[in-house]
Amino acid sequence: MDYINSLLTKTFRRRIGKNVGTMIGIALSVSLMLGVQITITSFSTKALGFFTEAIGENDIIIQNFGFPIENYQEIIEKIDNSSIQYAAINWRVSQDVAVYNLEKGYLEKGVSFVGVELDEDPIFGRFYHPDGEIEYTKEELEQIFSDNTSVLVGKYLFDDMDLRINQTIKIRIGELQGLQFNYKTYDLKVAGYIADKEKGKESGGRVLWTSIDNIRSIIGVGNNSVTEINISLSSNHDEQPVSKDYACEVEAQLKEILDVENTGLLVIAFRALVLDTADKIIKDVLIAFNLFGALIIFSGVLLLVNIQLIQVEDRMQQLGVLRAIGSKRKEIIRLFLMESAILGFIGSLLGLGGGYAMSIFLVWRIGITFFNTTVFLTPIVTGSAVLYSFIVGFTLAIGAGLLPAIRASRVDPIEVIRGIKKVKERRMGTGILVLGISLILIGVSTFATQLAVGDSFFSIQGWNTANEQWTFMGAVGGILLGLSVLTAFLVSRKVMGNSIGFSLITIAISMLLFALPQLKDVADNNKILITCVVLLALGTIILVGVNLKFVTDLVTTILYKTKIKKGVSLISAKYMTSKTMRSTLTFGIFTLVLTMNIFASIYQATFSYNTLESVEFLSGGASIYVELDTPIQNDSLVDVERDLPKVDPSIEYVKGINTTISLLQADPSAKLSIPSEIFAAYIQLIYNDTFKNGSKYVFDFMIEQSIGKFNEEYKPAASEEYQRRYSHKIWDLFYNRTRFNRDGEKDPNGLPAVISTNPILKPGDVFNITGLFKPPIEVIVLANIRQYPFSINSGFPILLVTPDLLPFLSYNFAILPKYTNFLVKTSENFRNGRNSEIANKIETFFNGNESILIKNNDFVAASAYNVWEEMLEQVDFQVRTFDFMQIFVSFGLVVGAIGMIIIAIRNVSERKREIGMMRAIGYKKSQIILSISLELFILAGLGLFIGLINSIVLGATFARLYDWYLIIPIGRVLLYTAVMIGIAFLASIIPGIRSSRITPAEALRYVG
Amino acid sequence: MGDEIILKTENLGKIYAEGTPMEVHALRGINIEIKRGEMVAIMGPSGCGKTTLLNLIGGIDKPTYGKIIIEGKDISTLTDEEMTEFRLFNIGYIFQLFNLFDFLTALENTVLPLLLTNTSRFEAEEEAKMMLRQMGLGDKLNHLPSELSGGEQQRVAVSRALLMNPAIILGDEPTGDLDEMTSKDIMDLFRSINENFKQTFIVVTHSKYIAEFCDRTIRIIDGQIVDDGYGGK
Repeated sequence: MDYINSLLTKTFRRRIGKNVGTMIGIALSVSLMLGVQITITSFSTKALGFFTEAIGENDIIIQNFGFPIENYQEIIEKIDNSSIQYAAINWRVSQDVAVYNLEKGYLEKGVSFVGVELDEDPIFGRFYHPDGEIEYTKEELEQIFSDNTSVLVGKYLFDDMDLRINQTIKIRIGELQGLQFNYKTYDLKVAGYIADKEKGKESGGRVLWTSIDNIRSIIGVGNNSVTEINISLSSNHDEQPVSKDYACEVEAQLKEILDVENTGLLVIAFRALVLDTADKIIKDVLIAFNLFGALIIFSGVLLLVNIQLIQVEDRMQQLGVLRAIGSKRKEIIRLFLMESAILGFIGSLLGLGGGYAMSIFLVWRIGITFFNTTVFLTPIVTGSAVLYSFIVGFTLAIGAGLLPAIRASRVDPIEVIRGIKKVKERRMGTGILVLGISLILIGVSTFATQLAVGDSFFSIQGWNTANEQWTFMGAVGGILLGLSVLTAFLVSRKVMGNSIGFSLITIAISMLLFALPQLKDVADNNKILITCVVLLALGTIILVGVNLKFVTDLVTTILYKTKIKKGVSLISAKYMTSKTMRSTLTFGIFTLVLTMNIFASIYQATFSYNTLESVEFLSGGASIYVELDTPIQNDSLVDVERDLPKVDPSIEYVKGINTTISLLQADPSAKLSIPSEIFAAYIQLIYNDTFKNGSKYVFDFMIEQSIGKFNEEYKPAASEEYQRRYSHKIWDLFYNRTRFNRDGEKDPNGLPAVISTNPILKPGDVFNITGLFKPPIEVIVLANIRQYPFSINSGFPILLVTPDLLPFLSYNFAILPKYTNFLVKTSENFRNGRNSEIANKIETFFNGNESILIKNNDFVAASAYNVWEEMLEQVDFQVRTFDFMQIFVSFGLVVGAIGMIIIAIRNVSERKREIGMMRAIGYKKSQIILSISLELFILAGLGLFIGLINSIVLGATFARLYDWYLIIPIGRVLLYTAVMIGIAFLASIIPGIRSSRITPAEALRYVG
Repeated sequence: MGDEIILKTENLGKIYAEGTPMEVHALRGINIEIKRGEMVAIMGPSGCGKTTLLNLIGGIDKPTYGKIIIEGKDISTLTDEEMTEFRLFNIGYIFQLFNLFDFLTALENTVLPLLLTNTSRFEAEEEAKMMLRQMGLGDKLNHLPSELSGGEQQRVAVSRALLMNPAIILGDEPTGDLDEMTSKDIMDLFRSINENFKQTFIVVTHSKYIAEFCDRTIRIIDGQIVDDGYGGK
C-alpha cells in the first residue's frame, strides 16, 4: 500500500499544473452553486425585511375596523389573566391620514397618525433624535407633546415631503361622531423627526407620532378607548423567531378569550400574515430565480463532471501500468479516491470564496433592480447554503472522479499500455429490466388511479387542475422512461438514450402544447412551465449527445464543403464523437446558458409587447382613474361627476364608485393562493349604471375566468369581439343579481355573486364578507376581471358587489359614505394623448393651493393616474426583473466560459501526444489551432443552436399560453448569440494556441 | 539505389537543456550521407541519440548546430511553417507505438495527410483505399485501431507514411512493439517497397535482426557515429 501513497504524492506533485486546473474547475462550479443560493437568500430576506421592518417586533394586532375598542383595560386584564405568554403589550390610537405641506405643495396619502403612551415598552421601538444615537427622553417627549398639535415625523416622510422643523402641516382626519367619521382638516406642527434606525418606531417610515392623549382629543375618542392593541411574543424576532403556527395558536386563544364572535373584535396574527403574504408576493420572482438558479447550478455540475472525466482519462496509461505491475483494482480506486478527495476538498473550499464574491455583485444588482436603492446590500450567507454547496461540490468531485476510475479499473492493462483507450462495456443486467418494468407499472397504476378517482384524465375538466396535470405528466413519464430503460436490456444503450431523450422532449412539448393552455391558474402554470423547461433542455441534450456521431458526421460533411482543410475537419469532428460524454457535457453547458438567456429575452419582449398592446382593450375605456383618501365632506363645494369634466375639455365621462374596506374570510374549501383565511379587501358597490350608460358599456372591462360551465366558454385566445360578447354575458349575470350554488350552477336560493379583480380570489371560491356589527355574508366569486384600473396600485384584492348586499354592509360603507373612487373617460389618444397632463390637472383640482376644497379647509388627498403610464411602469418592473435575471444568468455564462477554457486547456494537455502525431504527419501550427478550436467551437455552436431552438419553442409556448403575439427580439438574440460565440471563440482559441506551442518531439514523448 | 544523395547532415548536433546543470549532448557532430533508395538502419544502445537523429531528420525537432540537407534543401533553416509543409510532402513517419488516432478508422488514419492538401475527398479516399488494399487491409478499412492487431496497425501507419509518396520514410523502432513473425512481415514489406519503388528508408532499431533487412547500418554511441557500413540482405 505504501507505493500507492508514494505514487499518489509523486503524481500529485508532478501534475500540479493540471491539478490546479481541475481545482479551479471544481471551484468555479461550487462558486455557481453557492453564489446562486446566497443571491436567492439575500433577495428573499431583503424582500421579507422590506415588509417587516416597520412592524418591528409586533406579532398580534387587536382592532375594531378602525373604530375604537372601548374599555381596553379590561381586554389587557383578560390577556394578563390568561395563559398567553407575551414579551410586551401596548395600546395605541391611530388613523390613516393625508398630510399636506402647503409651503411646498406636497401631499402624501395613507400616512399613519399614531398616538402612543410615552412609557410604551421599548420593544415596540424607540424615538431617536435625528443623529440616530440619542433617544428622546420621556421628559423631552412630554415637553414636545405638551402642545397637542406638535408631532414627531418619521425620517422618510420628513425627507419625502421636504418638511422643516416648526412648520405647520395640514392633515385630513376623521373625527368620530356616533358610528360615522366626519372628516376635517387639522393643523399640526412639525416638532422634529426621528432617525431611521432598526425596526419599529426607529425605522422612521411614513408616520406622524404624538401622544395617545393628544390624538384622542383630536379624533374625539374617550380615555378608555384605543384603536389597536399590539402584542409582541418575542422581544427579538431575529434571535428568537416566533413560528407561524405558534402565532396562529395565540391568535385562536385570543379570539376565544375576547369572545370575538360577539364583540366583533378582530384578532390577527399580523406578523405571520405579512410574512406569508410577502412570501407569496415574492414567490413569482423566486420561482424565476430558482428556475434560472437551478439551471446555473446544473451547468456547474456539468462543468465539474466534465473536468473530472478528463482527469481520469488523462491517466489511463498510468492506470494500465499500475494494473500491469500488480496493483489491485481497489488500490487503483483508492488512488483516484484520494486524489479526487484532495482536489474536491480544496476546489470546493476555493469555490466558497468564489461564490461569495459572485453574490456580492448580484446582491448589489438586486438592490438596484428590486428595492430601488444603490445602497450596498450585504449578501446573506447561510450555513446550510455553504454546507450544501460544499457537500454537493465535494461529493460530485469525488463521484465524478471515482466512477470513471472504477470503470477504468476494468480496462485491459495490455491494451491501455499499448495506447488503446477502450473500456469493456458491461452488459445491462436484470436490474435494468426490473427498473424498467417497475417504472411502467408505476405509470400505468397512476393512470388507473387517476381514471378511477379523478374519472377524467383525458377530459378538459380533468386537466383544469394542476394536480391532475402533474399526475398525468408523472404517469406518462413513468411509462415512457420505463419503456426507454427496457430498450437498454432488449436492444442497446443507444436506443435507451434516444428513447429517454425523446420521452423527456415529448413530455415537455405535449405539456406545453396541450396541458398548459387548458390550465388557467398562472402560478400552477409557472411551476409546470419550469418543469417543462428543464425537461426540454435535458431531453435535447441527451438526444443530441446520444446521436452525436450522426450530428458530427453532418457537421463534417458541411465542413468538407468549406475552405478548411479536410484533415482538420476530420480530426475535430471525429474527436468529438469519440468523447461522447465529455462533448455532451460541453455543449450541454452552452445549451443551458443560451436557453436561459434567449428565453428570458424572448419572454421579456413578448410579455412587454403584448401587455402593452392589450392595455387599451383591457382598460375598457377608462383612461384615467382617481382615488380620494377620504370622501369630500362638503359636497356642496364639489360634485366630482359634475365638476371634473370642467377641468379639461377632453374629459368625456366621470363615474364615481362607492368603495369601502372590509375583511374577507375564506371558506375552507376555497383553494387560496394566500395562506391566511382572513384578509382585508376593498369592496366596491357597482350599480347597473356604474359601468353602463343605458344599455351601452361606457367602461367595458373584460372578464377572464368565470364560474361553472360559463368558464368553458372562456377563450383567452379568441377575437376581441368574442371576448367582448363573453364578458357581457357574465356582466349581465352580475347585473341581474344571479345567484349560484357552490357547484357554480344558477340557483335562486344560492349565494350572491361577486366579481373579483385579483387572481387570489378565483371563480367558484366562497367567502364571508365580514360586515361591521352584522353577521358575515357568504358570497361566491362569479368571475375575474382581466385588468381593472384600481387593482394596479392596490395592495388588497377588490371585490365588486351589487347593491343588494348593501344592507349587510351599510356600516362599512358608512365609514366612507360617499364616492372615493372615480373612473374617467377622455377623448385623448390612449397612448400618446394628454392623459398624464389631464391627470395632473385633476390632482391640482383637488389638491392645488387654488383648489376650492383647500380654500374651504375641506381638502381630500386625490391621486389621478394615467392607466397607460401606470401599466408602462408595471411592465418596466417586469423588464427590470428579467434584465436582472439575465445578469444572473450571465454570471453563470461567464463562470461557465472560464470553466470551458480550463476544460479545453486540460484537454490539450491530455492530447499532447495526439498533437505531436499531427505535427509529425504535417499539420501546421495554424491547423492545430484550428482543429482544437473548431472542435470546441462546433460543440458550442451545437449548444447555441439547441439553446436557440429550445428558447424559441418555450417563448412560442408562452405566447400561445397567454394568447400573446410572439416577439423575438432579434437584436438581443443576436447579441447573446454573439456574446456566446465570442466566449466560445475565446474558450477554443486559447487552448488552440497553447496546443500549437507544443513541440512535436516533446509531444510524442508524452505519456500522460 | 542510385548515386543521388537524398539526405546529408553536416556536423549535426543536439544539446538538450543547454546551459543548465541537466545539459545533455544527445548528438555530437553527425555527418552522414544517404542515397536515394537506400534502406538504412540506425543502431545503438538506449539513450545514444538514435531517435534524436531521426527527429532532426524528420524536422520535428531543431538541431542545436549543424545542417540537414534533404534533396538539396537545408531544412535546418526552414521556419516552422515551411518545415511542416516540407514534412507533409517529403517525410513519412512510422513509430514504434504506431501512433494512430484511436478515434479514426484505418481509412481515416491513412487518408489524413492527403486531406491536408488540396486533393478532393473522393480522390484522397480512393488513394488511401488502394494503399490499404495493397497492404492487405482491404477488408478492414472501417476498423478502429483497437479492432486491429499490432501488425495491422503498423500496416495502417505504413500506408499513412507512404500515401504522400515521400522522399524519405523514417521508422522509429517500427517493429519494437511486434512479435518476431509480424516484425519480419513488416520489414519484408519495407523491403519490397524499397525495392519496387526505390523508396528511401531510415529505420531506428535495437535489433540486429531488423538491421539485417537494411542495406546499410549506422551505429551510434554516445551521440557519435562509431560505425557506418553496408551489409544486411
